[in-house]
Amino acid sequence: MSQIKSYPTPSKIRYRLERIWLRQWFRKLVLFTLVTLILLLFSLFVLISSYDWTKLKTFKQNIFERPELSISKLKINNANSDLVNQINAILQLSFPINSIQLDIKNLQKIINNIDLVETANIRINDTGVLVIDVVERKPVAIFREADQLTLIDIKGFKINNIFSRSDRKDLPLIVGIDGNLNVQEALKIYQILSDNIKEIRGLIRIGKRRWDVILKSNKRIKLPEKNPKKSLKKFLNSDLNYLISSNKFSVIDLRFINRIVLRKVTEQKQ
Amino acid sequence: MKNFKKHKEIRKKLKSAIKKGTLGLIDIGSSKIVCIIIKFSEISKNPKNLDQIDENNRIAYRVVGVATKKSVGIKKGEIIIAEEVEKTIRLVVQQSQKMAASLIDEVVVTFSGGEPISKNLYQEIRTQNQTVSTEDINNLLSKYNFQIYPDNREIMHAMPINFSLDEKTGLTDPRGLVGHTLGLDINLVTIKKNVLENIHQCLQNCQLSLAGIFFSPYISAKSSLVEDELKLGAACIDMGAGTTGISIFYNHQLIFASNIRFGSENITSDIMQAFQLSFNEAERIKTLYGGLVVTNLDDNELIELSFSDANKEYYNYDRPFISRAELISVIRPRCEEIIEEIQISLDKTGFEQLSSKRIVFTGGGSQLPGLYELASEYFGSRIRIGRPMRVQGLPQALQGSQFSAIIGLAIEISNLQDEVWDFEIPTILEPGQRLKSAVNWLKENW
Repeated sequence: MSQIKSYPTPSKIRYRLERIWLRQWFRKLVLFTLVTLILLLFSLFVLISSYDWTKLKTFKQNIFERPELSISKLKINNANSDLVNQINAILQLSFPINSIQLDIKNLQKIINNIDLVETANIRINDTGVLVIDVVERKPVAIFREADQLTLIDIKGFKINNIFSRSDRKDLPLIVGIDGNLNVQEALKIYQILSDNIKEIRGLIRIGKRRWDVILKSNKRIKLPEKNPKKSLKKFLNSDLNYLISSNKFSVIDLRFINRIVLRKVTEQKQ
Repeated sequence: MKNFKKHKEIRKKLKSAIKKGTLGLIDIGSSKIVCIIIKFSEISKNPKNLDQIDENNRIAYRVVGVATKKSVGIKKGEIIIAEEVEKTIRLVVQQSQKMAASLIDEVVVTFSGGEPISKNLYQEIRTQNQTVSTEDINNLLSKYNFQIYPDNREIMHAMPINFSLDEKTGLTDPRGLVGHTLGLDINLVTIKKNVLENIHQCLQNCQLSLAGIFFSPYISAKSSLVEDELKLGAACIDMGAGTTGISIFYNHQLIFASNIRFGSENITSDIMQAFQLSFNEAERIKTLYGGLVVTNLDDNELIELSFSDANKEYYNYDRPFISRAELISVIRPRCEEIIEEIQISLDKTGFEQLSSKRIVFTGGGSQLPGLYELASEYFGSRIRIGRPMRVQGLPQALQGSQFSAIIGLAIEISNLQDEVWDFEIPTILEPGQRLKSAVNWLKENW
């Protein structure tokens, strides 16, 4: 019996790998893949080094300048000429322009940032026209703040400045700190009053909480904090409404529910 | 009725391997494992030729890869440590593949273990027509009961060795001859089933598939016996390391094969014990100085023992020299024992009755000087120390008689012996079996 002494034999995995390597198809496969890889790399190298890249650029241009994609005109709907000019000046688009290069979202953002525009809807129609549907902010009142007259819309948004009150005589004037935040209420008060009286100068927000109405004859109607419309209506409908046209009183105070306080015009003051 | 399904599959693999062109041959011996790769020539790959393999039409081949390693984990020709044997087979296959630069998938294996039992079966039938046809032979084969051996044994060889027609015997191919009763001798060699399965498993773990298994005494006789000896009858003694194989041929056919569980390894272990040497040292002394006949000179010839082994302190320092006579006196008794065993074995088989009683010694053990003299004391002058035939492409180092088995394997592959499973054996079914087989067929296919 011989002593059992094993050989330093190669591992099973190496044996298997060697056997796989000896297979003809495997060698052919390896050879094939190597050759194709080398050929591919070589051809890629040749392409990269010899290719005229300006060609690609012109190709790109050709694609972008296709008539199907180009935009020839800008059309702005529902906007007055001032706004149209303003939008044109801001966008500064030079037509024809490619629709792929156009960032419509960005355009919309820019247009929405214009003070005069409330919302804007941008689209490209099938005839290659860039259409901007604008909803303008409508000035409903004039707001005076430190001698600066500003047009404001119903939400109190300051649209643009005007130089003189006489530019927009049709709109009411609102004065006072935070007066622009309660435009809706002011407008309603104005409406109620203007049905009866023609000579309203404006409304003043007092202490950020209530309204005073100034008439042309420097007469002041003080309205309560709560339900100013109701108490105003009540006053106008009552038989005391002649007080408005009377010259004897400088202030008509409606702040108390059940009584009206009047202030006489003093000689000195006049 | 045995249908030899496994054997047929293995034979099919062998034929496909021959078609593919390369085949591995492995000799799993007790002392060494040899692997050679043979490449078949283009002409023999032609399938037309394959079907017509006969004695005159050998397949041309060439040895392209060779590797030899000392075997580990094999005792008396049987695998006892599967892992070590697998490793050695892997190593051998790898080396020979490297040399051949080609892959082998199918291997043919020879080994000498598993307690072979050789048995001759005889059956006869009446021929259907006047002349013997292939159908008659097939019908005759279906009459054999091949399951006369216990369950733990497997058929290794079942070779039709002798046809007899009426009173005439010694026919190799009775087809076309006129006669009434056709008889056939079949030599059945069975070995232990688990030994075969171990080899099968080992090869499977090495990703090799078994394409044939041959008994080594039979195979080494193929390479050592010359034409006349095969024809007239001869015994081939394959003196391996673990076992000594005996095969008797007559009329080109194996008529008996057996195994003695003594070998030259026993001689080595005797030397080991007698002089307290390591196994390798004993082996060295045996191969370099061993002999069987003492002369006067041998007393004076001193053999220097080398203690180059790592564990030399266990051995005897006082005797750095032994005389050759001493060595021979240790070797000879064991050799005599082996030869006596051979004689007993041969006597049992009725070897004396053969016309030519030649005995050919081959295998590694036959290289012992003086074996001829010793054996002729027992068998007379009809013995011969054989050397294997030449095979194309085999290196010089592998032409010694210790490689007779692997060379014989190459020779056998080129000229395959018909086995029973090469014939189409018709299955004769009784009415009950017919249904059963139909059910079995359905089960197997779905």
